[in-house]
Amino acid sequence: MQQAMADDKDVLRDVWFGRIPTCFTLYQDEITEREAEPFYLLLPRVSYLPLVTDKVRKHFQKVMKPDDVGEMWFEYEGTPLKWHYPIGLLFDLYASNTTLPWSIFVHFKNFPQQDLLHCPSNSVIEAHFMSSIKEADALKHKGAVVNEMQKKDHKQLWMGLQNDKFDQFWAMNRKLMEYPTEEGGFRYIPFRIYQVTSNRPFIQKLFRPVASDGCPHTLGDLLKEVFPAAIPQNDGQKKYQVMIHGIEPMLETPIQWLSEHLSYPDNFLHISIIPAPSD
Amino acid sequence: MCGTSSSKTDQINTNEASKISARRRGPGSRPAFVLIVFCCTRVDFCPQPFSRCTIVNEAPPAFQMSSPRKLVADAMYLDEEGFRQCCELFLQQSCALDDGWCWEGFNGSADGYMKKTVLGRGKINTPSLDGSCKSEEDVCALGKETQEGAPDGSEWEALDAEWSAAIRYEYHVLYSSSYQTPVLYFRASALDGRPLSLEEMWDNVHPSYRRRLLHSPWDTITQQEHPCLGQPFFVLHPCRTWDFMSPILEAAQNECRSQWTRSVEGTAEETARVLWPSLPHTNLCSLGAQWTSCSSCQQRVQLRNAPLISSPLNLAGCTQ
Repeated sequence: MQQAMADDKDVLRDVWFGRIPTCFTLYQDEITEREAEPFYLLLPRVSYLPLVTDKVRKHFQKVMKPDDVGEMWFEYEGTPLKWHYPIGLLFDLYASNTTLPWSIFVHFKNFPQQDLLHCPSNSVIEAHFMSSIKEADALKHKGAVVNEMQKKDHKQLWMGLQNDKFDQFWAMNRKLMEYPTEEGGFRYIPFRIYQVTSNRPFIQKLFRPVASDGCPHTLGDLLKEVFPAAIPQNDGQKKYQVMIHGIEPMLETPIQWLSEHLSYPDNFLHISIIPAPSD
Repeated sequence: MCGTSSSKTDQINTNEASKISARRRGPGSRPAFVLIVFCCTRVDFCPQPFSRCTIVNEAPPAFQMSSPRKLVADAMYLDEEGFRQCCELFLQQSCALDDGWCWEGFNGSADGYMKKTVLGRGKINTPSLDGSCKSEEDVCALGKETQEGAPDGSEWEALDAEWSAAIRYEYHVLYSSSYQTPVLYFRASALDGRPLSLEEMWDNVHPSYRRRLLHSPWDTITQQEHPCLGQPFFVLHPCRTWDFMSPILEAAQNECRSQWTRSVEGTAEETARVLWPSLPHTNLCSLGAQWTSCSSCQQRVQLRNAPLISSPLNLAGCTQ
């Protein structure tokens, strides 16, 4: 039992320290005074693009006139990348089966106002992050845990993420992961299911971790209810991959366990459903 | 704000409950405003205010892990089906009054939201070259400026002149399954199609309410992704809806007790311009006209928790 708990803690660490090697290239339409070299960075999966790309901005600003530098935004294969999605989710959703490093274009003009939220400062990211945590806690505990916390506790969650401090973040986050033993889990599981081919950004429904007969619900149960097409058919043909943090968890995994261990720091389980590679 | 004035809350809950049961009894019971009522009272069921991150919690209530479900009864929440029923009735009413609300369904599913587009008056800044927003410091400075108190008479005139740009507002009322409440999403653009920035939106909040807003701007109106469209929209956070709507509610309560005076009218008008910049003020209240053309105040008291009907247009009807 103790061994199992130790292993679970390793899962949290593995998730937290997941990195994606990324190559940032300045978009060809941007005006530069001399050639802009690509910039390479290991991006933390659990973080947000504007939080970890200060160096990218500085790198490209060196070769640009200040007047040509507007709000920075990113694009992958024609898709503007939403900064308010965690980096790992963006990668899983759009670039899962491509070769590394992940190749992202950097833009400083023509900000796509129709697609992207503005991000003028880190306080916007903080507000978004805290608002997600609160929404997740509304689902898990009717908001009781996050509201019991003090302002400094909220800051601790944010600073933990901002400064990439696993222990600082989890010392507080574990409170958000508690639940009454007799209930067997949270009230509802905070999850979102994303799919590139849908014109709806994500699916979010109320889903309990435990069935009415007391059996724990699994990832498969969740998909059966919310996205049945993602479950392999009897002929064994797999049409979709179900990705969380770059892995395909077994469909038999209890959803409560996934929620506690594979949620992003915003406390949501972000599940990407992508077409299975055809080879 | 959640947790305040519990007696009033209880009262409203009771009214609300009776309205729901009225709705279930049949169409004769005029429940179309249940939705709006929900908009304004649901937040009280959020166990704590969203804005708590900005408030030091002096005496946190003991949260008992063993019985969190007892904190708030599940029955108090609006479920998705209830939301749809309310919308349906609301839309019938809107249709009867030619008020322009419509339902946007999501292909194939029962999911959807209520939508209305309207032209209004407001304040638009000259866009900066790079389309960027003000820095955090600017926002703080704006906060200081508004702490000096409400503008005096001459400033009002100046403000009136400033508030003359034509703005196209689009309002969506969505159901949030997380908070189990309706949420107001909106976006605004100039007539040339340029979307208004968050700062411009904050600017368009009436000065009387700016201080409240700027005390914690990120907790009240923020830019968020529309959960159905995936596009940037502004959102009035559900837990702040009560804050912003309660003055209108109070005006509605007072209105039956006192003579309708010019000054009160002014207050109500300001109130209506708060956040629902110009739209619900003129339109939702006209939607409520059927209710407010009543002859007895007693009847109106029952309706008092439908705050949007308390704007001058309707209140004028009460004095007849």
